[in-house]
Amino acid sequence: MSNDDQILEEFTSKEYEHGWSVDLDADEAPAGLSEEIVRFISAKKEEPEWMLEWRLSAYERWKNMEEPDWSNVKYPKIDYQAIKYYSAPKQKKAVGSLDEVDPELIETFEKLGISLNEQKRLTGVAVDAVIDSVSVATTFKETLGERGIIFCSFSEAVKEHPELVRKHLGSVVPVSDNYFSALNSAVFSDGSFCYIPKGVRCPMELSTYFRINAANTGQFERTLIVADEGSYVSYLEGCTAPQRDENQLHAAVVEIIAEKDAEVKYSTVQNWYPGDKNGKGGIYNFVTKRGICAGDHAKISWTQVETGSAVTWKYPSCILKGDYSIGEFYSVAVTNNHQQADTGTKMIHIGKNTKSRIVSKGISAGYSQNSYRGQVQVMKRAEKSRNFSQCDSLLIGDQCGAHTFPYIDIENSTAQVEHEATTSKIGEDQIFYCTQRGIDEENAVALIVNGYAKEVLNKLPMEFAVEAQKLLALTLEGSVG
Amino acid sequence: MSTKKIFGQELIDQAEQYVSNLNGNAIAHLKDNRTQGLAYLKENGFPGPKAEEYKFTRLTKAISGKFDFATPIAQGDLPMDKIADIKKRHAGANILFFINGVYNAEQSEIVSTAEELRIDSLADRADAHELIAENSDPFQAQNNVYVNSGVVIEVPKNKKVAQPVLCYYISVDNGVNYGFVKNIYLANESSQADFVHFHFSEGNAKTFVNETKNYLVKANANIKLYKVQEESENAVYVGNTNVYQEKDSVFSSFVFTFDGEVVRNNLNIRVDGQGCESNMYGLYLAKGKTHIDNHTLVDHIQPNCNSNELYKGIIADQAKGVFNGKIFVRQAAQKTNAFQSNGNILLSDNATIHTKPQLEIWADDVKCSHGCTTGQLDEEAIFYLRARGIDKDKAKSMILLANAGEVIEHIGLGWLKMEIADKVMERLQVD
Repeated sequence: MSNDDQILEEFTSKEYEHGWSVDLDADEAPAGLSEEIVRFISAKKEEPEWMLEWRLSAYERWKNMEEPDWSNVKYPKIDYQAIKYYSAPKQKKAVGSLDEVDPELIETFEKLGISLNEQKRLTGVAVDAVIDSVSVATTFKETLGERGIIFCSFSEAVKEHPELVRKHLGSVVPVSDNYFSALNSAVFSDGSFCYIPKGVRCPMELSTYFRINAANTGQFERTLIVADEGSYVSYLEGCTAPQRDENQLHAAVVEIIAEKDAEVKYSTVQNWYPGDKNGKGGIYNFVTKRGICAGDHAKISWTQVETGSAVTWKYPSCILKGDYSIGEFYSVAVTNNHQQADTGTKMIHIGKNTKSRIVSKGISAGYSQNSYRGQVQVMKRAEKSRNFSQCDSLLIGDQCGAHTFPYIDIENSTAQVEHEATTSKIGEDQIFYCTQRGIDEENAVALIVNGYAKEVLNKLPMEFAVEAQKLLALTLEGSVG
Repeated sequence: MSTKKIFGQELIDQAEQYVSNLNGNAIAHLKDNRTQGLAYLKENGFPGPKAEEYKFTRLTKAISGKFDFATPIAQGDLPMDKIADIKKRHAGANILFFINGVYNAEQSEIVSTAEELRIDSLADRADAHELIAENSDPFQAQNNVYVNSGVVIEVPKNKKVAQPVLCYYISVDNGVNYGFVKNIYLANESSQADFVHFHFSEGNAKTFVNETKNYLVKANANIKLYKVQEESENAVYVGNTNVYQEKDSVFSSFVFTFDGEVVRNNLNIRVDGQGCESNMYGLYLAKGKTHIDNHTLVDHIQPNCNSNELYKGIIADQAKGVFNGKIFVRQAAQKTNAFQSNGNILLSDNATIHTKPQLEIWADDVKCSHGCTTGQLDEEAIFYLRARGIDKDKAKSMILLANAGEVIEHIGLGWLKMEIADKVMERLQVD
């Protein structure tokens, strides 16, 4: 066995770090989807009437929709009746502070490297932890509350701030936007809600941590971020799931509303269980993420590092409605083994002098397929709008594929739109340069890949950047080109 | 799927009617192609409003109910003045005439010797059916159903055709106003030839042309294809150019589109040999309500090949431009270099461009890139010229011409280069 093969062997047999599961006492709904289940979830969450109606109408629409098949991914048909749509870790009573949270839960998060307690004291990041479908703990509530910032679980928001939720829910991603968003609208069980009042700069990073724990469940969470005039918030999202043989579905919806002069930065490190080396198991990650720059000079920035999931299907998008608004999308998508990713963005320029920037770096290894699919649309009214897109692909090994599908639709003559893409492999000369200086091949690849992804990683908040770099190295370990 | 909706049912019925109306006047050895084409249409239908490949170009809608597709094609009156004029202008070249898709041997002039260039009508080549590409596109299938006239042009081994082969496709008003052409070009080992295709309409009648060109480029052959499109503002055109390249061959395609109501060009190149080179150049100048759509596909199957693509568009008034460039690099096609570039300039706020440069790569040791820009004229360049005493309009035209020049400069035939440059200058109003 050559050195390369050895390393490859070593790597492919490597296990997913977060593959364990915990026996949490869980409250579950029976498998299957019906009007009763939707009512059951709504009742479980003690939701007001309007929320239930909203869910039911979404369910009605979903029933009449067909699962889309245009993406460049292949997976066996999902049996929507075999999934459990509600699973919540059992808690004896409502928790007032972190100290009252089930110690087993806290342990779970500690195992994940997210110590809720420590987090509270040390890093200054407010965390909303979501297990399976339910938000279990939110830290730093009081500190945030002092400034009028609302950061809580979605169900709490429905109860305590119905006027805000009602106004914004579904305003960016309408119920019937697509198959998975309709499904999510009908059965979403929890998620995070965040409101930053006028002129407030959120003093810390807000973070949601998603974890699928129970078997046979789907996770359907919903995040709604509203940044009022002149406010600023940086939001982080992370996710993991246990290692299981069957595929699990994750269909989330994220909505962002940025009013005049507001800025929202949304960063994701996605590390759902990707399946084993033969492509068995793993999460189907079908996510709808969209933000709207509703007012002038608003800014929304998406940064994502995608390393997990068996199948990823996600397009964080920006609707640039306000004049002078800015949309950004920075992405690193790494696929290995039998992973498939079809990801990208949509930038819809409606307002005048709007700007958008897309930097997408795809890395494919093993037998994986990695696609960038993006759209830049400049509407008639969007005078002097500007877009720059760059999507690069790196191939490691000759069994994988890299694909780019950029759609560019321009209806205004003053718009300036540039798009460039390249596909290549890591040069032998680059590796040689490194090995000659005593860096072994493995580290050379990591070094080169990190350099390649630097432009995106630099956009991540510090806490995430370190994690993302580690993940990158881990995902690609052994796949020397 | 059993629930699949078939679009363009009327067109399919007409095609069936047409086949039965042919009544033995059909070329016998193309029977299978007709049957298969019809079967394809019945199964898949014509592209509906959501068909990805025809999303921006609604061809089914553009032709449905506008033509009597059941009536067999007739040649119609020949525009004799035009023909005489063309012959005079290109004295000494090979000229072939196709009137509403029907090959007219009588008017055509072949100056090259039979050793250098062999031209047979489709009816005389019993092996013609083997050279017809399969039905991978509904309009290609429609073409296979209807085609009853065309030629097979063969360049023998080691021959260079000294004189270019000019093909004139003229649409005339003859009552049915539609034509289906299929020509097959066979370039044998180490042969060389230039083919120039002119497409235009006589008069302003509503016409439809569905054309297929199949090029078989054998080892070490070098073929250049030029296509100049100046149809009337009521002409709907759909063309499929299918190219099959064997090892060490060079194929270059140039497409210049000036007018038409709806123009759709599909260029498909399969590179199935090592050491090949494929060049694709395009220039589209759209004005009025013209809709121009270029779809190109290069499929790299074998290693060590190069492909270059450069398409430029200048869109004015309410015109629409569509560009879709696909590059496939199959797993075996290591060491492929594929470059693609598409530049567009919109001259009016009612003009639209949809572009989609698409790369699909399954091999790791490749260099592939695409670039795509859309914008208006560079303000700084205009300022530079104006600072030197050139008025604004003139400055704009000069920059546009320079832009178009990037494509024109690659034309290999001197006289054609001049002709195209003149047409572009006339359009852009540069003296």
